[in-house]
Amino acid sequence: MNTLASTDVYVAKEFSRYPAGRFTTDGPNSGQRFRDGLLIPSMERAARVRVHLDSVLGYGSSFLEEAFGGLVRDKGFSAADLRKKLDLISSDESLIKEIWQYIDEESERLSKPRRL
Amino acid sequence: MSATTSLLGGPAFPQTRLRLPRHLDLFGSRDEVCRALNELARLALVQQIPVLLEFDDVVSVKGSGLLALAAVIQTARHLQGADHVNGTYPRDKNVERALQDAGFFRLLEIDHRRAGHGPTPWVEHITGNQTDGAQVELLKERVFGCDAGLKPASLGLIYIGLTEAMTNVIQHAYSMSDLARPRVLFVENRWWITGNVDRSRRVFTFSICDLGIGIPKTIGAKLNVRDVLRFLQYNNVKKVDDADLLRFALLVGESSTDLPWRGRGLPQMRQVVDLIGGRIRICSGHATAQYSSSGIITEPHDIPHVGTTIEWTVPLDHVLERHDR
Repeated sequence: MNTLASTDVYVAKEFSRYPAGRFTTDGPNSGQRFRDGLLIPSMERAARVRVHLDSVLGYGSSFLEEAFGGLVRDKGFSAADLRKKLDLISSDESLIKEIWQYIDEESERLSKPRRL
Repeated sequence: MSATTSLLGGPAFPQTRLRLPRHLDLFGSRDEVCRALNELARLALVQQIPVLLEFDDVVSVKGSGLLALAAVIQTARHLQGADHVNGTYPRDKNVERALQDAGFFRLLEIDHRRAGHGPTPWVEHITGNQTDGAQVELLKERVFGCDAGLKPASLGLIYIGLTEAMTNVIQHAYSMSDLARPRVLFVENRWWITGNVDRSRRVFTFSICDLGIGIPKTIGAKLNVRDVLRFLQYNNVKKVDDADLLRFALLVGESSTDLPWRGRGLPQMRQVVDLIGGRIRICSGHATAQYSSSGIITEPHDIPHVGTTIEWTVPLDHVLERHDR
């Protein structure tokens, strides 16, 4: 049950200035570790999570896709759920668009019938 | 050769001598360098025979050739023992200085005499078996200096390209699907990266190397087969060779696959080249490929590369702040 109306996640301060890699087996600051260790616990304790993305060296698509697309693929969130739940904050607008693109692509991919 | 001087003062036991090519340039003298790397891997890693590398005749070096050689040396020394691969001093003092600056003497765990004149563009490589973004910052400091003003956006693009390349190596390069390959080469998902600035050409270059199965075999093992077939049909390719598969690897980011975890290192580098210029060169399997604003050029070769080496060149003036150019 949510106990807070909202909370903040600062990637550079609370996770790493060097986010990189997809799975925990790829490296210490992977998208999977960020998602499971920081993002989801924050989402569980608050109705809305503001994710502050600035002050890191960069975000590769492997990291972003696993951290955010993985919320849909592995954790069962819908894109609509996530739009209500996440507030992405960055000085780089294209980064925010890229993250929503991964979430929407994964939702769309899962909504298609699976090929044999 | 009687004129050779062992870096370690003479081997303690018999070694097989391996003469290195005059130009340690993986793209300029590709077949000679690949032949030497394959022979070193065969002797030192597969047959486990101690090797004395003869640098005597080497007159020029390039980052990608040095890096691939360092990768095989480091792997052999790691697996077979520190004295397993040794070498001779080059006759050319500038080459010796380049080897020193590129970290070869540290790699061989020896002190070194000063040689050559003036600074060389070479820096010691970074290596690892995880995606480690902090290492990119370390390499940036080695290549550009601690105080160099890189545009934050450019540093971000470099960071993304290199960390995605590391991830790609870890996830794909050392696939066990190539059963014909000596198992000794499946080492720890390791990557090697170096960089250097060429101020006269106003470019900087990163080289990324692994000792995996090669991009052409990786495509068969990991990527969506339907995409490969669609690409080959579209390009009217009847008989597939490694050059076709490298072309596919460079273009795969343009196609849509059903798998979100397709390799993203090359497409991300390609985006940078599209955005600010430069080029990508790949040596992998039995082929080389080059991507630039002029398009893709591929070339098949008879002699395979021992792993994959990618050379990523970016215009300097696009990445440095104006006062640091």
